[in-house]
Amino acid sequence: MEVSNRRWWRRPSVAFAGGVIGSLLLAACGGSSATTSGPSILSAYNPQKGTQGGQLVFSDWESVDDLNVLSTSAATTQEVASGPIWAALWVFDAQNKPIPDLVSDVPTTDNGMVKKVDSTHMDVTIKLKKGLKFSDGSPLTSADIKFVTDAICDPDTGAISTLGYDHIASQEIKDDQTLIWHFGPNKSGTCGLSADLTSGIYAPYLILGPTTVGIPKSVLGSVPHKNFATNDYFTKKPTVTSGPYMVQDFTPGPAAIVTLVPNPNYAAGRSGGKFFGHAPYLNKLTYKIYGDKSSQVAGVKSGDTDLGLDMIAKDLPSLQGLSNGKAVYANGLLDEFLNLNQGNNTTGCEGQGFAQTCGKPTPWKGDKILRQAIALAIDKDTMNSQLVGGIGKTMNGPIPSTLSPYFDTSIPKFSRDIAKANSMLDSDGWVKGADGTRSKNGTKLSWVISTTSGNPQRAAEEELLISNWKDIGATVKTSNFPAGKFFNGFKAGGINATGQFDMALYANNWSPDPDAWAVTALSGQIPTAASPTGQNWNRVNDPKLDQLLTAGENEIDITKRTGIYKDVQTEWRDFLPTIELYERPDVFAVSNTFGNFFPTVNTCLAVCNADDWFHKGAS
Amino acid sequence: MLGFIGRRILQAIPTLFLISALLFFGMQLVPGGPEQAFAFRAGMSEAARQSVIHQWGLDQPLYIQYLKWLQSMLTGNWQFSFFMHRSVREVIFQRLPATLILMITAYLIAQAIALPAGIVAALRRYSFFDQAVTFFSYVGYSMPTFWLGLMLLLLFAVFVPILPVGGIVNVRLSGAPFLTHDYNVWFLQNPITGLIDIASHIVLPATTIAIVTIAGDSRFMRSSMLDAIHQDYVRTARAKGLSERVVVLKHALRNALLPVVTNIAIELPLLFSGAVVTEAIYSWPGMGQLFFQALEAFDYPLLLGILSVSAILIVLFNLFADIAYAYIDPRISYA
Repeated sequence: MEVSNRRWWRRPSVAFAGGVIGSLLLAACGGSSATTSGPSILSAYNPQKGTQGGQLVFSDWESVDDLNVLSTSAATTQEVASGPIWAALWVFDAQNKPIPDLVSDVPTTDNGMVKKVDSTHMDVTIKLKKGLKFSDGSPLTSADIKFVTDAICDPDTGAISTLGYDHIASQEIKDDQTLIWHFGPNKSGTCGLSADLTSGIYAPYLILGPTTVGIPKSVLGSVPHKNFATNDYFTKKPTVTSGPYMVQDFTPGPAAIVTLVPNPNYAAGRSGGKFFGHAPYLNKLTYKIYGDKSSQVAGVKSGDTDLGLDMIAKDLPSLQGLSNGKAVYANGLLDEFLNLNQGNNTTGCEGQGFAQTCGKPTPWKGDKILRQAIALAIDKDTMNSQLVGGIGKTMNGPIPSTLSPYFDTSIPKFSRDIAKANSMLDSDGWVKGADGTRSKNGTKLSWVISTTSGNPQRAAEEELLISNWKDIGATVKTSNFPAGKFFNGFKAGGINATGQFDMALYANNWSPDPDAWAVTALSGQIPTAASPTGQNWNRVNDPKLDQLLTAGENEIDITKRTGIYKDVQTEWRDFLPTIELYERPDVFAVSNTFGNFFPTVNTCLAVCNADDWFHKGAS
Repeated sequence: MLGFIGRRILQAIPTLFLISALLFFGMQLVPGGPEQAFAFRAGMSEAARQSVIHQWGLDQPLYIQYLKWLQSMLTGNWQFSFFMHRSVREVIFQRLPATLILMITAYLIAQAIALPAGIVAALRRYSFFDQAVTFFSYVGYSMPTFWLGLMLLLLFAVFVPILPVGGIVNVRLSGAPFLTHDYNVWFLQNPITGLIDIASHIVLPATTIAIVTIAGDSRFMRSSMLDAIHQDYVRTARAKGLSERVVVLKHALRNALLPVVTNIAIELPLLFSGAVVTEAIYSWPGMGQLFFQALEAFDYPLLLGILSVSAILIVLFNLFADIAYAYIDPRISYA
């Protein structure tokens, strides 16, 4: 039996909370405000008007154990929870642009709903649509949103991420529809902060929209946050929901099934809205978990399921010849990359299994030219064409191309140049020995690459990379680990978190704001015993990146911010703390009868628009 | 006989206690321990972690944990599954019917074919039929279940779509998952449709399991029957002029069945455990996959619950086997 490891491919603490995605929007959304002369991101989401009735089945192949939209990072839980069951303040479309859901307008500086109060404070106004109701008919108000925000911030809840919420100093309910998030400095310990926060300016505030979902205070208000994880509301049946559908039945575990029926009050307060302004189209929506990937593919081919999620490029050949649908794919914020340890590989070195490098600095520590030569030797195009079926996107810099307007379009396309790489190494003092391996001052150009074990895709990538680096006189070995061990936190002795690696290969599912990269490169984020939650696993310490990334987080002017992140990309490409390989595509199989499915690679997991899903054959 | 059964039950009690202690303390030797369950909750704070540890009683000494677990098993509470967030008893009883339906069907099909095939193969040793049974047995036994299951699935659910692709019921038809309240209501209103639906879903997984079981059990029956028909008492029966039918059915078969009954007694409790691979291929909501996932998730209460029920069933079925011996073999008496 194939053992599930998908959720470990992605670093859950960086991947934003069960699927948050987003891009920074400082232009108006939903057509309610005028655009400015600066970079603008207006959602072009334009679903087809559906027909009422019928049922659809969407599926995955990994277990779904609960419906805890706040705490469970498992993609399967989020696939059914985020969108179909709970509505969020706003969600993001396939181009990472925000679409208002519970709010009447997405807050921006242009529409005056985002205001910088002073150099360390800012206010974000959350304006809910008037007349919104939960499925039981009770009103959905700003008190419910405040309740959810408080819950996310309380460590007892165990929310997937408190990132961003930790900048909210207080909340103010103006009326039933209006809530103000006052961003400001916070003390260590507040909302999971590991150190005092001196400024509350938080430009990536938009990433909070999709995780701030409508959960009824009237139902959970009396439940202590520490009991949320075991409360029937999240584990058995959420009795009152805010999304287009309500849970009819849920059988958890392997071969789980969730049957959903329309929320009769979903349309309240939404009529006439440009987005999600109607009652759900379907009579029934079923989420089905197959026993394994092969069974899911068979389910797609036989018509048992209308939409297959959680597939990858390797599945494309088995999806050939679908008579009742098609396989589609999308690139986005999921990328495969190499993490180069910039510190010493010293912490135990996994029982001295890394004898070659254990206790020593990695060969590229303080040697930028070596890092650049290593990058230049990689055959990214072959990797994409041979190992990703040609549907990935070769990356030229750290930020994926869909992250507009931050992605720097002026970056030249990457191309492998062995001659230049060898020449750089020659001039850097790396001399080729009789065995073909270079060395410098007695240090061999040799290292260990590590990734998740039991993953044929990753093993093939390692093989190709090792062969690429042989061309520049580098000898590279592999040492792979079970996903749990590889991605465990610092306290649990995780290989990455404790720095017991030379070079790590894995993927990250980024949130749609360039600030997401900050936690992986800020020197203050290097994990230590005193600060074990740090995300800078490769121990980057570049003062210029520190300065730029901090400035990016604090700048809410879109034009200035775009400029800062272009500088970040220039510095990143020069310093090379990581080497990005390709934007990894997500593959979906969708039947011809499935209306309004838009493939996306973001944390909405392509299900955020469940309200617009319809059955094309319904009458 | 009743005295024998009573004695055996009394003997079983300390055995079960011993097994429970071995299971509980043996599980504690697994590296990582139950707190590994937290490895799957990256965002959990230390406070929340401590709170759950306290809730689960993991901050108590081991012997207290054992006694509490034992108490929960004896009182029918069975503790709380870490990752399914509900009582272990609820989880097991939700999955058990699907497992029993599949495994009993598969087992009955398998025995209905394996026993006669083994008997006939033994009686017609080296005949074409015997060679065919032997050939089939080796093929069936050496075929990997995942390959066989996948092939049957592709053949009969995808290329010639006459059977469902997986699950125990067609949710599009019933509108609800198996054995939920809504399903039960639907089933009571549409019993014939419901039975046909389950039957159609059971064909492929039951066939997959049965093919492998037939292969092994037919060889076992053949071998046992061959031993029996060459015994002196069978030769004596023939010398006495008894008909071949009586010789085979009354003298040879009853003796040949003794090891088969033992084999069945061993196999029957395994029905409860389900079939991990087959359940995965056919998305069958049974015990096999549940156990595998509990193992992956370090869900100790669920693992202990499943293993304990298995242990009880093994003890129980061994008792049944002993009772069955008395009926099959006239030489054995518990009076």
